[in-house]
Amino acid sequence: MADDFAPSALDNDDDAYTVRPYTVTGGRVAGQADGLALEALVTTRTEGKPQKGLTPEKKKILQLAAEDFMSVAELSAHCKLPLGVVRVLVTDLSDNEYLTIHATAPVSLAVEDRSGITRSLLESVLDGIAAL
Amino acid sequence: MASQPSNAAVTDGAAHVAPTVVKIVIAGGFAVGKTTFIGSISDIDPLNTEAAMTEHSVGVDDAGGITERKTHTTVAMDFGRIALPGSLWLYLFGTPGQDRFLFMWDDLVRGAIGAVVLVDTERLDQCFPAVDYFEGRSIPFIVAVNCFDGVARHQLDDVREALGLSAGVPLIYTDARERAATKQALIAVVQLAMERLK
Repeated sequence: MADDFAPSALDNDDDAYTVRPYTVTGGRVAGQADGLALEALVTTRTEGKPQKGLTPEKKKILQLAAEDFMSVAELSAHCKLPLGVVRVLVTDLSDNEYLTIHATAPVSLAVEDRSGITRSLLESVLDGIAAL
Repeated sequence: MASQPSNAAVTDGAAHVAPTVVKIVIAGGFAVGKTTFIGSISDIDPLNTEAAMTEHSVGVDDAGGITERKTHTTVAMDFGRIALPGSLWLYLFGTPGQDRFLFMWDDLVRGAIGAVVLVDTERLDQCFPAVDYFEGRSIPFIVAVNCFDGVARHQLDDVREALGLSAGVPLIYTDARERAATKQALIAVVQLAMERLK
């Protein structure tokens, strides 16, 4: 699909972004995307829904998340787009069934909520790090 | 192939189920070695991501002579990733170095196992905001004194006293360049998080 990527800000490794960041979200700010964890993993859905009409930024996200599980933070880094922008785009793409957001621990906005961190999870992490 | 599960774009065999994701936050002052720490043990080269800022920060960073090689004008943070056995992905998120970006930390810390606060004993005060932040929210954290040239210049007891750390906060030496040392720091955080569950 040769028309996937017109030359754009995405191809420029030197500058962070050449358009105002929230231009690519149509001016919207986070809203429900706020709850999306930086480390939440996404994958592009395989049904092959036509991507015609999607912005280059969205196509880039779908391309990246087609190769492997991608966290929101990694998408932000690879696309050179701010986290808030990527959260909005990913939420959009998920709402429109282009990609799947794989849930992390129960979403709570309270920093003090540690209910997702269980003993068995910590044991696995500890064993894993020790084996590195 | 014909009938992949709808949520699995990844085509390589067993990888259909998303890894379980955990994270540890690497905090500390400006230019204290957070990115070096992450890079010493991450599977991927540390990546950099940014949050859009309306306020730029040129020329107000107080990091002695090292300001010149840190000239970002946006809130930038570095992170890495380590694949652990059992389909576990551990993310290491470095906090933005300057303490006026504390408002971003909630995002980083939400759901984290705990944190490593890196300390440069030449600039002890730079870690105060991080220590305050984690203490105030009961997030398990350890303090790791980064020995820049492989030499510990201060006794840990002195550092503990200078920082006003309670006895319950583990305090260790580390070397952000050394994988073995960063590994020990991460183990200490996870062990502390386990103790807190009791």
